[in-house]
Amino acid sequence: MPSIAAEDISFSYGGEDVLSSFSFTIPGPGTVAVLGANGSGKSTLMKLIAGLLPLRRGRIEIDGRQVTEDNAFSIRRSIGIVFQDPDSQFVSPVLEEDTAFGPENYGFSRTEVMSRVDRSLSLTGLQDRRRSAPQLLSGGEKERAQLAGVIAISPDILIFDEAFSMLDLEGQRSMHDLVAALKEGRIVVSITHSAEEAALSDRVILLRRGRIAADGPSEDVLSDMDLLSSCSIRPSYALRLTSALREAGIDARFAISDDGLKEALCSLL
Amino acid sequence: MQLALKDGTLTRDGFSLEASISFDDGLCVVMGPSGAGKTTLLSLLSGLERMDGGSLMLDGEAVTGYDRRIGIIFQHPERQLFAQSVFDDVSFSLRRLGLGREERRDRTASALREALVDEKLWGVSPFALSGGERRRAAIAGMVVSEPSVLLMDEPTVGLDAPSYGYLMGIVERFRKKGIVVMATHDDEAASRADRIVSMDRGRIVSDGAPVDVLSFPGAVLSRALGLPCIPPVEELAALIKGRMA
Repeated sequence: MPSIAAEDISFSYGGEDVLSSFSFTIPGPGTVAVLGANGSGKSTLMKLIAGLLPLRRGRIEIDGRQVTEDNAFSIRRSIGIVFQDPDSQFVSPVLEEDTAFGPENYGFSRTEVMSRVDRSLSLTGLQDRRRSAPQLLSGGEKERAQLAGVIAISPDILIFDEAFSMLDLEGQRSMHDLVAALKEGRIVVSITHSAEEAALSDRVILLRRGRIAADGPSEDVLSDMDLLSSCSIRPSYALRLTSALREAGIDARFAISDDGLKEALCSLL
Repeated sequence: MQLALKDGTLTRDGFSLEASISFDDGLCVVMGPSGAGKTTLLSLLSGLERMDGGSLMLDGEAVTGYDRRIGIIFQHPERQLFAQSVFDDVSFSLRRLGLGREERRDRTASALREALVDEKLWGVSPFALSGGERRRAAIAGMVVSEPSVLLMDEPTVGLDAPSYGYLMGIVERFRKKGIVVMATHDDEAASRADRIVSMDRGRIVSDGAPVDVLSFPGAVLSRALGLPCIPPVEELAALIKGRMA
């Protein structure tokens, strides 16, 4: 079963600490949002977990194994990252070759590679585009193509680094449906600055200048206007409207998503 | 001001855009799915892209290339930072306006202050700034020359709360004195528009008021209340309260 534990980690790029005395545990499969404003340290945290930056202070355990310089490569095999900008990630002019890049580098047989490519492309709905150039796909397709390359290595831990922010609503919905289909048995971490997007995860770790400002069920963390504002996070529309209603003297329940807002309004009638 | 694109056409890599549209002072938002042609439309309106056919007119004069009255903020403007210091980068576009050194300095300083970039950072490399500061500095570099037409491509993507506030302040300031055209997926930003133009597959498919076009809860509630526009949450809450009483 996948797990992540970070204990008292600190990190700096040379100046001030970007992360200081940071600890949390994700004990098993589930969806977790790491929510923070620009410069809060969320991308650095993701890079440390994935072993893309060397950890000098504190310890990180993935699946119960402490990450060291010697085993960072093998531990990374269980982690897949989907980045914000797919254009900078493609390595081949043909989609199916691009999807095959990960499993090929992990040394799988040709048959295994091909079956993984088939599975990943069909799961992401890109079978028809397998001979296309990934660079010429639409924005939503590019993001799915990047995800196909990531799931071809069957990671237990999936990290989305602001991966949805460039997509239109429809693209975001289709990515979220995909994530819902993939989360069984996996840890899915979404790095985001959007309270709306964080509301789709069960748990939210909220950052403020390199420290944990709150960590708990998304309903709790995302319904605290003052807390979010103190972390430079724009509260969701649903929360701002339900808060405004309460301030106007209407006893509305706090909502953190559009669906929750609908329920809160209906219960008033 | 009036900006008019007449029978503009452009065909590239199997994608074709055909559009006729004109803009008066105020905020027009362009919406539509990925690949609908929003970015292409903005690039035609900027005069920077050569059209296959059609004309672009600003106040009755043909625009045939770079025009300093038109400013465009591309997607991820922070990728275009290039100068040695934040200050030099932001002041760059003022050089060709023939302003004196002092006026360039004053205008740059006020643009940087508006962009919430701390004075301590004005002398450092733009690449030393945090993501949010970089984005705001890049936007400051575009608006410092005070263009009459401001075109913005997905400017709200990836913005945290202070940067979002800065950007919306810019939009409000420029829509009062000229034309702002903003492509966005952000329903709430779009709800402030005077009109929303929707695109699909290289064509303009509708042109209407935000309250009729949008579908986020604020728009649904405003329609249910019979409002002509979508008010900010505080006003909306007060109107709901009034209706309930």
